[in-house]
Amino acid sequence: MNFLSIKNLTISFGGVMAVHDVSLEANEGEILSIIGPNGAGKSTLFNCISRLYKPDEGQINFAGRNILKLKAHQVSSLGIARTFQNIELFTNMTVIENILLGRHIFRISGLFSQAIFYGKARREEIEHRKKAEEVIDFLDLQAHRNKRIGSLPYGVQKLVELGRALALEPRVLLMDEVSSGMNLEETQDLMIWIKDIREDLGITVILVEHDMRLVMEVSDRIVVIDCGEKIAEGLPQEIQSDSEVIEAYLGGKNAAAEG
Amino acid sequence: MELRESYSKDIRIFDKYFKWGWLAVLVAGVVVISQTGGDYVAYTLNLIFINIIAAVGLNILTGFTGLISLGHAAFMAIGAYTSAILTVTLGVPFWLALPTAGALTGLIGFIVGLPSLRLTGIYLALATMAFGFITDEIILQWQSVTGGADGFSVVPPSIFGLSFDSYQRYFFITFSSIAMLLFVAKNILRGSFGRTLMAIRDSETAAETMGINLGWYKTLAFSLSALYTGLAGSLYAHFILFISVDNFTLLNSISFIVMIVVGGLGSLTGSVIGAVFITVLPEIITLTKDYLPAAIKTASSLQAAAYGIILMLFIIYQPNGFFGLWVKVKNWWRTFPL
Repeated sequence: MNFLSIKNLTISFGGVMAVHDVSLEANEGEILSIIGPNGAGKSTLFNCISRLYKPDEGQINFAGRNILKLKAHQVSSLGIARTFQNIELFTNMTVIENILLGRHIFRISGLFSQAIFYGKARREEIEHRKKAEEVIDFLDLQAHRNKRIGSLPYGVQKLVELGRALALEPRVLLMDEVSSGMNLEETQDLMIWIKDIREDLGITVILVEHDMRLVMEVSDRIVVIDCGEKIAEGLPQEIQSDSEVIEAYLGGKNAAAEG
Repeated sequence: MELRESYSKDIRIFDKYFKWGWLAVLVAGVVVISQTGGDYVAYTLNLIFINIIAAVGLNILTGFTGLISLGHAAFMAIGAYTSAILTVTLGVPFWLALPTAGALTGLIGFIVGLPSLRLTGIYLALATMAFGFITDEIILQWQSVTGGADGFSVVPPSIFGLSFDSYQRYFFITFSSIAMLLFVAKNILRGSFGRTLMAIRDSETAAETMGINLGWYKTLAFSLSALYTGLAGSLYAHFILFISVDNFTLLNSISFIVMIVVGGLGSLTGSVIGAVFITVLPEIITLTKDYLPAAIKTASSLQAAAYGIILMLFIIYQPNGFFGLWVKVKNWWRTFPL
């Protein structure tokens, strides 16, 4: 059975076809990269999975369940976490508080027991904090723990977003251009973390990425999207030598000759 | 850098234990002053406490959840009238009327909160303002129950034979209420519920992907906020002993907003500081009026003008309110020679 499968997905915004008839599958435990030029529809695909957009046609199934029947806030409890291309952090809160928000789906105690904050509610809070500290250790964010998001450099903010997604203990992690805004060293760390996330935490990773070095280094499989349509799919080596992919990235034969 | 030893250290009410000592000193001081300072002081303290409760209520909604309300005076009116009608007309004892008034206001807050699922910013401000006008109108028209434009006389409460008929005695009711309500607010806001509200304020998209049901939590925030304000209203009715719609106007709603902006949005300490400042402000105006030019000192809208000027100055120069200022000073002091 398929882990995450997208079938014939189509979505358009006011006549502009953002994604047209795209099908793809992610297997459990793999690192899948979705690449393509700007505006190809990669992030739109993510937004459909997390139910921020409502596709016009098609199906998305995750672990045997039809995601399109769920509301946006119900998707995460299936075990789907994500990061955003243009950081969506809780700006006026600290790093630890942001990561703690990733624990929202695990809360048990109700408002009344929280009002007393003794016993169960207190134990639960401490349990969540333990988990959040693990994430902070994993991503080396100790130095920033109690800083407000607004005061952090862009690269660190991207990491906090990743941490918040990890705190959700997801089964699949959608990473939308995490490496953008990171320097070479940070990107190299990121590669190691992505591999660790799969190996140590057993999380399936789907990347939308522009950094080809990173993509080729970590991906098991790659899907290429251009102008809202899937143009290629395969192993990293296959993609690198695919003529259609090269054309999409470098322009047509004529353009190449002129350049 | 400080070393952290336990998780519970991060979720304490005060980060350092000695602050409990300061609180004890403050409480003792307030109690002594209220009992020995005469009617005027006791009156002002009661009013401050009632305003703090309302300010905390509004701050839960506006400061923490990011939803504005220009209708909080109406919630206060509902709490006040419910409590008045329950005790005077129906003969319900005060200790039961107070929580009932709070609960009913909370329920109405829940219903008023429903449109907030779709409205934000200026539109929500207008909708809640309209709610305020509607409430006023209902109170005016429903003469048989509310007394209409004539107002409503309330009796001082008595609990188990003990009558709280002076400002000094009533102090103990407002004081124990505020102690309990601040404790509950702090608990709710330091845990996951408070974080959820702040998450909604900062990014609805991210909050939703974290699994937060926006509609449910926004309505809950509205309800909780209304509950606090309703309790403040009930306490106000039994304190002032005569209520009419004039006590709950748009200017009152705005003064609550000024309180939390001046004190600090999204901070309980800020709500307290702001409520103290704005409650004492009219008294300051009365005291300093004589020194103002003749043309200004007789103007009836002096208080409203003062609110406006103060709000403007804070928004421009100190958007984080007194609380933000305090944090700044503290940080400056800690890193002093640098």
